[in-house]
Amino acid sequence: MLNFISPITESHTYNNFSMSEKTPITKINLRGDLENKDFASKAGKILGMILPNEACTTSTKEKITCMWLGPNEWLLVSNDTIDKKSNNHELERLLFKDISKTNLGAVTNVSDHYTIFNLSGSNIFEILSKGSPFDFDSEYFGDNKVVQTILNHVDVTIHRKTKENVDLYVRRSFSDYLWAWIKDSSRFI
Amino acid sequence: MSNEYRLSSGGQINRSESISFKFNGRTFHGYKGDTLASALLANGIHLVGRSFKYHRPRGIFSSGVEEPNALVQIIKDQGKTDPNLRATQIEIYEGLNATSQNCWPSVNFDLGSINNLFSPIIPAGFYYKTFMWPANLWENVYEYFIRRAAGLGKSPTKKDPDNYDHIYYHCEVLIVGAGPAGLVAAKIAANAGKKVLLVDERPNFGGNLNFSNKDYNKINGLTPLEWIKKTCLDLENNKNIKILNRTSVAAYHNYNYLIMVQNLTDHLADKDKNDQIRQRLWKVRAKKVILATGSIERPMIFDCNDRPGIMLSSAVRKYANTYGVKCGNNISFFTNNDDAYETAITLHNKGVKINSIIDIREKSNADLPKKCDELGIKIYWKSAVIYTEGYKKINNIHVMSLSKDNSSVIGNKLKINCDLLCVSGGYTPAVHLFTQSGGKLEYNEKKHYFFPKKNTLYQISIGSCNGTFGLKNIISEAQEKTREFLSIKEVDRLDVLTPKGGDFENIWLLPSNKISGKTKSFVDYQNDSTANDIKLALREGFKSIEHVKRYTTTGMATDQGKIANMHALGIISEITNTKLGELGTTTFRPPYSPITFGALVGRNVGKFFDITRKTPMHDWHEKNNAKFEDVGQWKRAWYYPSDKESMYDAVQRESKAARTSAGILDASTLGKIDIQGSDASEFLNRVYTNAWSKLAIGKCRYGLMLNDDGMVYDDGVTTRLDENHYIMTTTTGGAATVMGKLEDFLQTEWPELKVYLTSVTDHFATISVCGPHSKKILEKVTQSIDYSDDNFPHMSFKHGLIDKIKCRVMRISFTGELSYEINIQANYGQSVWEKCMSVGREYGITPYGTEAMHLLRAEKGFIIVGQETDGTVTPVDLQMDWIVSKKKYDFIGKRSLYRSDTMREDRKQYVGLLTNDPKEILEEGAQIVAEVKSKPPMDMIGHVTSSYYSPNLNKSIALAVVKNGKKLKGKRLYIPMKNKTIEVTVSDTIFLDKEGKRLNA
Repeated sequence: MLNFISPITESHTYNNFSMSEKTPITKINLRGDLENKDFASKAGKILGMILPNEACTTSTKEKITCMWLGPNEWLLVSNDTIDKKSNNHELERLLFKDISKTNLGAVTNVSDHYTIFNLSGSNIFEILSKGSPFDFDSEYFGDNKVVQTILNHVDVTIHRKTKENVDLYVRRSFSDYLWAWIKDSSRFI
Repeated sequence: MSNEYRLSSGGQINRSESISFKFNGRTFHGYKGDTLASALLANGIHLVGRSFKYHRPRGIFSSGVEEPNALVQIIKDQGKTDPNLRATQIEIYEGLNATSQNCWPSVNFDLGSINNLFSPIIPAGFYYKTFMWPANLWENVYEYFIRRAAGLGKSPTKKDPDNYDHIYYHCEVLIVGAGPAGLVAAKIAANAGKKVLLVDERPNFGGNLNFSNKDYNKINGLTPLEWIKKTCLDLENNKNIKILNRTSVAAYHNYNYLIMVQNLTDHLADKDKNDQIRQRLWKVRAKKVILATGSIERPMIFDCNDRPGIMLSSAVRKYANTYGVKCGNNISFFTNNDDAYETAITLHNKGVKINSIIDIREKSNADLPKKCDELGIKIYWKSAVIYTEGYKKINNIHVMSLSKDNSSVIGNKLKINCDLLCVSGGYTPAVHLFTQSGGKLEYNEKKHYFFPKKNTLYQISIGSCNGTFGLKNIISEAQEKTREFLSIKEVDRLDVLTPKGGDFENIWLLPSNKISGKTKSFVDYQNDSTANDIKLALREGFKSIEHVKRYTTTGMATDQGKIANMHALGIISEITNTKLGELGTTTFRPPYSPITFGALVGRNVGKFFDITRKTPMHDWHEKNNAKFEDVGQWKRAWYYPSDKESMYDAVQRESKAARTSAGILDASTLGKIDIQGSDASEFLNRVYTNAWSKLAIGKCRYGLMLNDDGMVYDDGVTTRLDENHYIMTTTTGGAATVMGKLEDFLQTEWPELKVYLTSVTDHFATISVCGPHSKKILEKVTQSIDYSDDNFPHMSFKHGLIDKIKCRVMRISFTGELSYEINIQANYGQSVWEKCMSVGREYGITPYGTEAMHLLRAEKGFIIVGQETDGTVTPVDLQMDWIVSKKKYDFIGKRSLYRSDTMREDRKQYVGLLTNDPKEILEEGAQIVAEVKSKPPMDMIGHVTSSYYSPNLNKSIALAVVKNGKKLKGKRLYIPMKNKTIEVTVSDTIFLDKEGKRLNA
């Protein structure tokens, strides 16, 4: 059996800030035109929810969270960890069959493209502000919002679940570097 | 000497906490709350440094950021040191060790002061005039001496031990300066519920109000200190506001983006620093900005106005009121306004002898001069100081009356004995940040200052930085302008008591009884430029203020002319008879006050210096002794030396193994783009030079991507996974830019195409296995794939499974060898790699790095974009005409391929080179000539792009671009090196297996 080896091998706690990797999680990039009713209804039916249409918003169902990344782009993420022994994802198969194969849009598995850091604590945004020009205090960035920005020069997607619980998505190859940087940043809070 | 100049009471220092520090090796004592300057003055020390050019003794002149003289070096440890810090800003702490700069052997006895004697022959422009010729003396003589003389202070020689940090911050209202105007504005803004950031460069808030005379200045019946304390307390209790002290705004950019530096531990003793951040760089984006940056007191420009013991009057008041320090025992004043009188009264009330006030004005009927009169202080109206005596400390001033039109001095010369001369030439609004932000200034002819006139940003200036003086005016302006700026209905009225002020009269350069050439009236203290230097520059034809500045270096020192600039402008305007408003100012550039490199760099040092990207197999490479190469931001395995193997030997071994048994390469770094959509084929037709529509499903094709200019931009293999589904690979370094370029074309040039691009570079681990045994290895690693050549030929792909995990296998080759590429979800990558290694062991599988990969592809003549190409190479230049479709309607760069220049036949073209001596390896980058001359210059017709010793061919091979190369095959060319000339023969670019038997084996 193949070993599933994630790039992060530790968890980190400093005072009341802690950080751990969430893995394995199914991540699927979905592209399509919401004004195309076929696409919107097919996606809605498979996901059991309407794709969020407003910038930087998210929708969550029991098993899946859908994050708005652009006017025609969403990231679908499983809420729970999945089996490491197989990468045959039912959701991906269904979406691919009904959306990609029918030329309604694109469905791409990006499960290992991104690594998720789950951050918790009372000072998450103070730490992120050390390397990100985004205004985390903005009235437009409340709970359940998502934003794509940079963190110490690295592209990241930040999903604010609550003020004290945040999922940070970073490309796998950058994860080791960014993990070390956030860890170092947390010393100075 | 122990604090003999300390007043018996008063000040905001903590007299119960004595602090010892070292200055120039001697131990002194001060109190908690002292600056280095105040503590030295309390100990009677004025002389702290030597001037830059003439090495004249210089004393503490001011009390803040504008200080031109008191630059010191802080010594922390051997090799760890901070130069050019202003003693007026350094808060003392236990163990502080500071020394004077620009003097040797000591500040008291400085050999460099001999320059002062030669000052008549080293005027402005001395260097330009003197070091013109002979030119050959430059390198060994002039440069050596100029470098020795240049610069102030010493750089540290050791690594900076401190931590620095950055932070981004957003606010609705940023208020710069916490003087009375800033505090009033902050309170109004915070009370109105705005998110406010208030910053001040000083440790204490209140600005100059902090040391105002409490008998003459009151707000709502409170003394200045009481009001400041109460206001600050109110602000601290307001959750809308963030307050930062010791924070200096360095730069004010467009769109209200400001950079500031917060000093966190410089004022602490080492034991209290606890490895915390020393300085933090704030990057602030503010919706609205209120500038309340105050003003800087001006000196007076007269002969020998630079001696230790000559200080700004407001500074002397601050030393008395804030630090309980008298700067002298027998004080004279020289002024043109009423502010100096407040200092005189303050010191008089503290029992210090004020022997005279010299005032250039006819008379003033204002409150403070009247009071001085009553106190019996002698005032010399319509008079000027024309000279001072005392080498290391002032001891006499010479005073004469001014003529009616102030153009000369008349009457008898009076000599007054004193140990301190306070000068006050009025105040200059600190408009630096305003102009940095793009604001335009206007000159007030009556009041003789530049003030903020026009700005397009959401920004206001309030208080004395706006040219508003007098506490009452400042506060009422701050209230009214802030209220209006923030659209607030009403604010509380404040009842302000302030002395009735008199007029202000200005003379930029005071007259003297000597001829002008015999005077030394310093304008820029730090760079030693005098009024005469400015006059000389004007006489020599420099007219623009920017030229005069550079020629005389006025305003170019570390203080950026905070003290000097106005007078320099005034003198130029007078001499050239130009209105100051028309003359304008020099440009105020960031930073407002010097910034450490540490603060700019932040924590991006050491392992955070640059971003590093790692492949899924990185740990395996590390454990197996790989040396890494930086490619883009990736760490790529370069070669895997065993034991004491050299790089050359390792690469030869790896390359040999890849052709004779099996090699394995980590190719995960290549860019991968998933392409889906009904127009995917048409999209590829437009992106690449060749045709894609007829590529069968399951097949792979190599493509060349051009830029608009027809030059090769990227290359890679794209696989057709399905009718409308492709996966494109790009070069490692080009991945991000290619993705950006393709998205750009889709969104702006071809919005009609239904195509979606998704980067999957990091999703897949890519493991390339090549060599004669590769097929056998793959057969054992994957399940459910038939590897027979019929089923799985070169340039095709199959879906597969490895232990229930889905993967894709492509039969493609960059080495020219039979080769397969496994693409699998990244987290399984290392495990699959290990599996390949264990299965391949019996076949002698050998991991090879990027260097061997380069060698192997060079044997086959495959190009590397960025090595064989440099942005000036077309596909035709590369002899790859076959890949450029003549039938396609269009593709990126097509038009440019038909320009006369790109069709020129004698362009540099891609060729192979073989050395006559097969053991001779060429240097990459070496120039190629057709004809060798005895010495350069020679006509260079091309250069070597790649060069290796091929272990499979047992000879040296090289690739090159050569003018007209296509027609030179078989011709002899030459490569002149430093010690020899190498003969080469132009060959085909494919050195090995021209027929491609290995690929299809």
